[in-house]
Amino acid sequence: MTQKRREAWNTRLGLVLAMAGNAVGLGNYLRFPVQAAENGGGAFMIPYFCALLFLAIPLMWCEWAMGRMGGARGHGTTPGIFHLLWHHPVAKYVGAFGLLLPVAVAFYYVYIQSWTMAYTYYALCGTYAGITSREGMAQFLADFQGAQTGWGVSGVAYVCFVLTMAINTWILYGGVRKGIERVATWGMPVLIALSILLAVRVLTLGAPDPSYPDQTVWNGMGFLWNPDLSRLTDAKVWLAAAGQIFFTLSVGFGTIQVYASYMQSTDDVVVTGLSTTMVNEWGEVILGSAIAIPIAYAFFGPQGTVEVAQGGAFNLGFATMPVVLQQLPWSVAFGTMWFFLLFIAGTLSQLALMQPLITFLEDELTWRHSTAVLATSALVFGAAHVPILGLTSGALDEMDFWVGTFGITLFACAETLIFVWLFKPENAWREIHRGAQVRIPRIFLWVLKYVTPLYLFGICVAWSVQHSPAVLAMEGVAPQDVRWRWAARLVLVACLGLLVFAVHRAWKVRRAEGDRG
Amino acid sequence: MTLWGWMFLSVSWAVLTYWTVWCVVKIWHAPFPSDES
Repeated sequence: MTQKRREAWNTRLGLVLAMAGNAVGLGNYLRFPVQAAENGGGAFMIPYFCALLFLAIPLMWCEWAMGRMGGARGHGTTPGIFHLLWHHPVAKYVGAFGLLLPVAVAFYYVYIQSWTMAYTYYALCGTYAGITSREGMAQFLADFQGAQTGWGVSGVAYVCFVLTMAINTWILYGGVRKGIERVATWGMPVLIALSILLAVRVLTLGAPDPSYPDQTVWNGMGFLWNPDLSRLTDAKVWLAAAGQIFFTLSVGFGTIQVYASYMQSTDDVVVTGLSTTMVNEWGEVILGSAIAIPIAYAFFGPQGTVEVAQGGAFNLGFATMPVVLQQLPWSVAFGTMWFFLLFIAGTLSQLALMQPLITFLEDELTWRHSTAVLATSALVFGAAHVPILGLTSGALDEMDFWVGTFGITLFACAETLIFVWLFKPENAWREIHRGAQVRIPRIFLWVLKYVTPLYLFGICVAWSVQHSPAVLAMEGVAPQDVRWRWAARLVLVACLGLLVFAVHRAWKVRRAEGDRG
Repeated sequence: MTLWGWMFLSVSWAVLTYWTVWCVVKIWHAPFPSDES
């Protein structure tokens, strides 16, 4: 079969920004501060940096090298890449999970992305101005979502969802270079600039309420950074840190391979991969920690901040932040900046989640780009109705557990095993260093061979033991919510079946063409 | 914020800033085949 000429990134900066855009998401600004505050403050950074060094960075290099290698041979997604690395009939079907995970996350992530778009508009127009309590904003969010209406979703939320889908489809229609790279090239600098502006504003607030002189933003930073070293003996803290690193860097999803497959075969992956990791980490640890929790502390005090942290990431982003930002001078500007930066982060991540299926349809089934984009958008649009309509019944949480928690760790285990052990460690090491600007210390080969797989295996087992029995048995789920939970599972199984069939079909056609050739 | 809090914050921010700048400098000075094509 003649290999189709694939697109390539226009510039290295564009690639780094697009890949960083893939990694920088809502989790950097909402999930990280909540996790750090709940898991030992500054002490959380010890397991966090261990996970970064021994888990995320080696895994990131593996995924970049796999993607570049596959792209050079016309396979930009994990079914084709795994087939190249491990000549076994099962390999391509294991790779099908690398298509399922991102597209399944896209089913619900697009809805959250649409909230950020709607709230940018609301902040700009002052729609929620005057709501000064967290409870009031939580009610505003519930009314916006409209879960209690007869349809299970409000008209406004649905229109925003459709608009967001249209924007994503339009960008993806432009392709890797003219769509994703172009958006990332302006979107990431804007995102970083807005984050710095907000962080500077927050850190120069002092004590906004003179009657509470101790409630300063720097004491709020202390809430995040004062270490509780006794928590280091708690295994849950180490798991939480590993989980946060996983989510924030988007490793184990199958998305990094896809972006890396559009590199040239001799482009460096060591420094480029490390750069995207560092941009993401800088954005998370420095900017992510300097905005939401410190400002919440300054306005609500220590007890209020504990409640905010326990309320979770959505509560922090959509209920707490609008309330506190309203109390600043230039509240409209800062509220708009906050939600717009979340919208950019959400959009760049959503594009990365939808691209793998598009690449698969183009590379393996030789579909035209426009057809592949429309088919992927149609699938995401249709399947998104389950998490949208079953939002209050926990359909979104159900999908998030199986895909965003369990699925990615299992898939990361599989890809490490295939790339490092089945492809052979020396081959993997050579592939990572092809065209590299710098040599990685050889100790990382040992880390790749033993530490990373064991670390991953440990997380996988721990999470399975901790959460899977309860989730499987639907413990604590209200009877009326069970059908939505099952609907979410059914969508995932149906989607996996469809992808396995598509992989089977692609290889059958390939074999037939090979026989004819 | 306690002294330990300041220490954890300073070390984390310094390490991340150093490596981010190191990466930016490396990328700035190195050729990238795609740039030339």
